[in-house]
Amino acid sequence: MLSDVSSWLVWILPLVSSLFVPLIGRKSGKARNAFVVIISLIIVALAFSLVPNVYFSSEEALESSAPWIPSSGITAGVFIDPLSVLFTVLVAFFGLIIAIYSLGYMKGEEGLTRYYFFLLLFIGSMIGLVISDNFLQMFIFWEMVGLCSYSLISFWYKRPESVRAGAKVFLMTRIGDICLLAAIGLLYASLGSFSFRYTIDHIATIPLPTLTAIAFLVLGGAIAKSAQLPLHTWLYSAMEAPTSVSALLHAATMVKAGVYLIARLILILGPLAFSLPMWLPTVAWIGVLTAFLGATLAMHTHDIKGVLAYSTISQLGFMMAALGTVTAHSDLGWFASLFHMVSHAFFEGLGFLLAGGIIHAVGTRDMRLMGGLRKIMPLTFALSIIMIVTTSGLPPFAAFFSKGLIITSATETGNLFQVILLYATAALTFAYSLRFTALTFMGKKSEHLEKLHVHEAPKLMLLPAVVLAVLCIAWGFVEPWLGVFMRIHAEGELSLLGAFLNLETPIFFAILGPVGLIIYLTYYKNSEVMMKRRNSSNPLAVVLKHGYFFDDFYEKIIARGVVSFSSGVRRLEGSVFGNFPQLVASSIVSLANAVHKYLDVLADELLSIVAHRTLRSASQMKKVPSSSLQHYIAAALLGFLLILVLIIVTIGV
Amino acid sequence: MVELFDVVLPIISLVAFSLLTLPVFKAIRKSHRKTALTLAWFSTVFAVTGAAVANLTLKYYGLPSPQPFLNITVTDAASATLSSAFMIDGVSVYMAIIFTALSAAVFLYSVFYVDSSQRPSERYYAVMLMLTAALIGGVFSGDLLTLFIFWEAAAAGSGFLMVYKKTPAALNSALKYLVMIIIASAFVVFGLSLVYGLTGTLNFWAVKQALTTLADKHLLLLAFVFIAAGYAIEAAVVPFHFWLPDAYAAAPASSAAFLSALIDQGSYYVLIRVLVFILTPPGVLDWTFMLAVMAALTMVVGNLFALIQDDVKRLIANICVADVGYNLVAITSVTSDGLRGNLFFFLVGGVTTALAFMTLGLINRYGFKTLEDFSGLGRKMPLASLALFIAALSFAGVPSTGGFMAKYLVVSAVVNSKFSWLAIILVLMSVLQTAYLFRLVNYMYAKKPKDETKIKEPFKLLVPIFILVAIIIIVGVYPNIVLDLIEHAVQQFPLIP
Repeated sequence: MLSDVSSWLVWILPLVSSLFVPLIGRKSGKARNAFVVIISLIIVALAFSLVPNVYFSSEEALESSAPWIPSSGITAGVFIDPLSVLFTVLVAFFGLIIAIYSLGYMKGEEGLTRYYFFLLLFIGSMIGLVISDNFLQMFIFWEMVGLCSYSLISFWYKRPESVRAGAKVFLMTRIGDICLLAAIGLLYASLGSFSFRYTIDHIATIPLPTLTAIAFLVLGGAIAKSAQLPLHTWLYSAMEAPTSVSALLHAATMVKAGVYLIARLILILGPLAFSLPMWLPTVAWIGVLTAFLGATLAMHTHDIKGVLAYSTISQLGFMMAALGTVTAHSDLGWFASLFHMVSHAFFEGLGFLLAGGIIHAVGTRDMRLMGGLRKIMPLTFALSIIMIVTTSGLPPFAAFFSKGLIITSATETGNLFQVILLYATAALTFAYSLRFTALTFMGKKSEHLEKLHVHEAPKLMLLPAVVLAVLCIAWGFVEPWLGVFMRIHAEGELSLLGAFLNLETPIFFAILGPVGLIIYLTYYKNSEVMMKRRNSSNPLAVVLKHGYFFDDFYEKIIARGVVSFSSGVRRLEGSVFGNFPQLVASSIVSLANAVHKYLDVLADELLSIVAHRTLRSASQMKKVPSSSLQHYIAAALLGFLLILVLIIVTIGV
Repeated sequence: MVELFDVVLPIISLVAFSLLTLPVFKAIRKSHRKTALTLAWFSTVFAVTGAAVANLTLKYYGLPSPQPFLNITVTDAASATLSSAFMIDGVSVYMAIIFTALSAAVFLYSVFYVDSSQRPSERYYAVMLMLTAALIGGVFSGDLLTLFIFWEAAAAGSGFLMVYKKTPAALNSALKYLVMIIIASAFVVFGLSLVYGLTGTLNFWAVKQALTTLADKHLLLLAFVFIAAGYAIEAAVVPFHFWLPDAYAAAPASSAAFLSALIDQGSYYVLIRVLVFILTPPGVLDWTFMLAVMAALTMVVGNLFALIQDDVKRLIANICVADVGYNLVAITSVTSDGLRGNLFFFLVGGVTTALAFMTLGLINRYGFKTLEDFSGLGRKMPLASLALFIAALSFAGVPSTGGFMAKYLVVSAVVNSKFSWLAIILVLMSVLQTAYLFRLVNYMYAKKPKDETKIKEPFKLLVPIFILVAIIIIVGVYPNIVLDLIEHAVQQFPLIP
């Protein structure tokens, strides 16, 4: 029963308490901060209270629902299964981490009430999204999450870049929202219900083409939300947000909504997922390509948050790729994806927290202006070493296990090219992590830093980072236990020792270490050179600098095309509809004049004939200017024919 | 026999008075008080005719009967080779009332308008009385032949009204009119002969009965097309309408008023009666699409031609064509709503066009013909301009005039039918109509006149004009007066499919 209450409270509490933030915020800032942290703590407790229920439950899922719009048969409900609990716990935990971190990071900012309000609203919405028991409720939270993301990205609304970035993110994720909505609409049209349970039970009744369309549309939604190709560019723009927000939304939780969606859909589809033509391969390929592209972009950017953003894109690609390698007889990929999802949350979250501290200290995001920070910020440096090692997937840190599982799954079921690309990405990951460290911490202080008095990050910001660092180290060893919790069929393969003794491990290291190092060394040198020669014509550098031209494509071709199209429409509207009444009036007048003139001319022609032949004797009538009897008769006969034709057309002969 | 007497009394009395008018006017001409005596004579005429119609009305109108109140076959057998039949139902009584009242109004105007010194005007009056008799006979007819005879008498006879002033234009247009009418008669006769051949009778009810059991419809189709074309010529449906603007513009104002107020409405009545309620029993012919197309054409062409006219009289004449379209729109719905709209439109359309022609007759006397001439007329002839302004409002369908209610009824009837697109055309055309009518109003009131001379308006002519103005406004403000009257006819009309 406790789980029943807590499963509802865990998402309703943050939503409701977010409304109190402005109230308390008016009284005092400290009370507000304390309130937010306490609420976050309670949410974490509630979330963790769900774990035993699922762990010891023999049922597939614990459900509970209440009528919401009774007239339409729409209910609100919670769907407690390993997947949703995993996400709930992660979101709640990260909410707490970020709430504490924000105390330090956002100190002294204006508009904190708004910030905390959206923070709590986001936590509530995100948990609501993963715990919903029907598509409609899920979609509503999906939209709310997007709204929170938009509002938090534009938090510094006085900075035009923030506002622009917020709008860009909002618009790009909108594409996915529309896809998802279409999918839900199709599903509802086919089944007449939004409920997961009903859908699971009746999914087989949907014709395969419709189901394929639904699955691909859902994939579209996931692509936009999880920043996959080709809609990945918004995530870099989202880095205009405060770093704490980036850590929470754009690394740990919100961007995982797409992963959640696909993972959930695979559960709902069940065995049908494997009969959908091209669907799982598409998921896998999108993931692999995104992973590779994201890693190459991370190699090049000078923005400290940009590295993390592209890294996130890349790691999300890993998760998608893993989801795509699910087969009928092995759900290892599914598990690997979720496992990596959590690992990624830890190491990328840690990365953002550290980056936040660095930005806080040096006041810039450009890594070229940093360097030599290892002496000034030793603790940050130590933590970032853990972060980098974890990101690269070196044992025995978390990502070693999760990434290893993904590659194992891909090797077992995927195709060779995917596996090669994944290995290459892993090597690239190592390379860009090295570059990140080198640019930021190694070398000498830049001129920029010489002018500043740089200091170590405050303790309040380091504490959450330390917690995450510990988790980065420990998380990998949870693997077998998590396997049981997630109830996967391939439990046996998940021995820790097995991970080390796996055939992939040596290959992994063989590739990762040397290749990554080589890439790093060559590229780092190159980039050093390139930094001096800005107008480098190296095609690879140009391509990477422009992020594979995705943004240019969207802005220059699509956006500009739309703009010129709409301005064309506007001009047309101005010229046509602006003068429309006049145009109509003048055209009617000219039409009438033309008809009149035509008839007059005809009439005059006929008049002369009539006057000369038929009415020769009627001398008076010759003077009359408009006489056209024959014409009238001709018209009457035409009318007769018209009636005849109309009658025959409507009635038939 | 008493019943037959009831029916023919208005007709007989009008015919008799028409014949008596010639000798009576000889006597009046000798007297000093010509105008008073003329008025007295016509008062008598319309008192007697009005009494005869009132007798019919009081006796039969409003009786709860689904069938015609009276159905009199003059010969013994309904299917005799030549038979004649009269019948009285709600619609025919209503039409008789309208015809009598409008005729009286036109007469009141004509007495002052027609210059009796130059030409023996009594013939003119006699013809008008005869035409009124023919019209009333037409609406009381009970079989197709009787209807044909009476209606052709009215239609052909009205040619004489056009040539009262023997101007070349009037002669020309009257000739054209007569030729068209003859063609129409030929069409109708041919169609009727086919119907007779198919059914063996011309009696309304017998024809209708026979048609419902008709096996082969091909000949009926042909008959229908001929009759429809014939009556469309007489009702001036586009493209059969060309004679109408010519004829009305060339005719003297009183004639134009009479033609538009009586003959026009009579032609719609015949069209509706024959085409909708006799030749098309349910399931025999569904020809409403044809009618809808014609209605749309008529509205559009009528209004477009009115738009480009500079001559105000031709403009009003073209509005008469557009009015035909509005009436057809109401017919297409073939429901009691449509019939209600039609019957209301007969009165309001007749009154408004008559008002417009009468006022124009008054204004034309002073040489104002084109829109340019009308500049500043509101200052020169305030009362006549006011009357024309109200006529324009009613044409345009401005609320609180009769025209609004008429158009409203028509639109509401057609909106619910399957030709709801006609309503859109009608509304668009009304907007167009408002536009060009307000151009006229603009000339009258906003433009500066060429000279500021004020004209003394003849009071006598303004009396009938303002009676019609009063009718338009009363009907517009209290449409229930007329609607209550119509309601009996609508409820009782037995022939709606």
